Amino acid sequence: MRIRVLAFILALAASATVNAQSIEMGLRDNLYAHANYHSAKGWIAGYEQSFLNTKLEEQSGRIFTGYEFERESWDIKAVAYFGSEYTGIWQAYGVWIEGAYQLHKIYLDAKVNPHYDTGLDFSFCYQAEVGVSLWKKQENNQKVEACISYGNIPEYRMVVNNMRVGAKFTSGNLWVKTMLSMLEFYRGNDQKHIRVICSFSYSLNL
Amino acid sequence: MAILIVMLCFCSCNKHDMDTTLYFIGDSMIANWDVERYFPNRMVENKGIDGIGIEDLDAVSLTESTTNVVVLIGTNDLNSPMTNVELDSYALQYITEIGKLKANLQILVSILPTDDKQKNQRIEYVNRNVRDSITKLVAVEYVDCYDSFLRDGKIKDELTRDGTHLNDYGYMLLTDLIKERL
Repeated sequence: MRIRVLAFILALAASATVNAQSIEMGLRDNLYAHANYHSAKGWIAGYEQSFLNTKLEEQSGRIFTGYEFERESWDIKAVAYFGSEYTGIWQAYGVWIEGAYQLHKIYLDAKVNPHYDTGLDFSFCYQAEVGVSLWKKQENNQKVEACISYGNIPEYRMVVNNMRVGAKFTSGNLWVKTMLSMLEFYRGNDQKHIRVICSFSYSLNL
Repeated sequence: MAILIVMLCFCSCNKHDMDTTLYFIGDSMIANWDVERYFPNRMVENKGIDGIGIEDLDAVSLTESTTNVVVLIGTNDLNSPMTNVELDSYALQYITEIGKLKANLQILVSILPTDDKQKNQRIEYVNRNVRDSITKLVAVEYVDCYDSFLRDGKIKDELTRDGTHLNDYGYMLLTDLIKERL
């Protein structure tokens, strides 16, 4: 526990040493809230907390730190993370490398995520996403995009292939993405589950 | 900084014996259960197969020899009318097949009620026989959920989507009852 606290403090200290540009807050996949600093030089450090339907001691936390590089149509991000269930029974860590490219009305986004879970061992996770702009208003960066993705980045803990279809709504510094996640649908087995997944993020410029 | 954190992570990580895969075995009641969502921080694997009965349990293969399993099966076997002798024989077969599963911990969930009162009488009969006999199996923990799903001799309307299969509320209740035993 002390090691996790120390790592968290170090991650925050890393962000504090540079001139912070924004604070981002949001939610990933319905159940994981996060807050992070984003410096003017592109450094990122933050914390993600689960809000699972389990007991408090079975929740998990994750610290992350990394770097984001933006140039013209490109946005490249590399993040290292470390997480653990509060009980300490399992830990998970890995690296998240994401590249996004905007081509007129279409955006392409690819993530690779070497991921290690102490219970599940190593998994190579990935996600490829493509989106197309349906409506856009230059004023206040308002837009609606239809998006579809395929990959196996865990929505909970297990690594399961999924296809997602949905829409991303952006207005200023806020974006909200609602997706239908279809799991293992292509295999034709008996476990066919569809989840409604919502993520959002808001950046507060400093 | 990232390297330092990753090094710290390596120092603090070790595999815990308690963190073993929880397998879910059974018929469509299991197959329709999004176990990842209801057990979000556990290692889980759904082995449910639509339409199977107790005699098909052999077909379910476990990839790990020592593991924990949740079993819910039997609804499909009791669709047709049966005499008490046939039900006794079925309960015996049920217990025998359950006993063949190799697991550290086996959580056997009682067969759940349906909207068919006559079928429910057969289910109650088998559940009673199984509950009374299952104590002989050391590694099996019996979870009697039947009454929690029952109202006026039938499954509660708010817990089912078609009179047999559970809806999200049904799975939430089932999950809570099982989590008490984990």
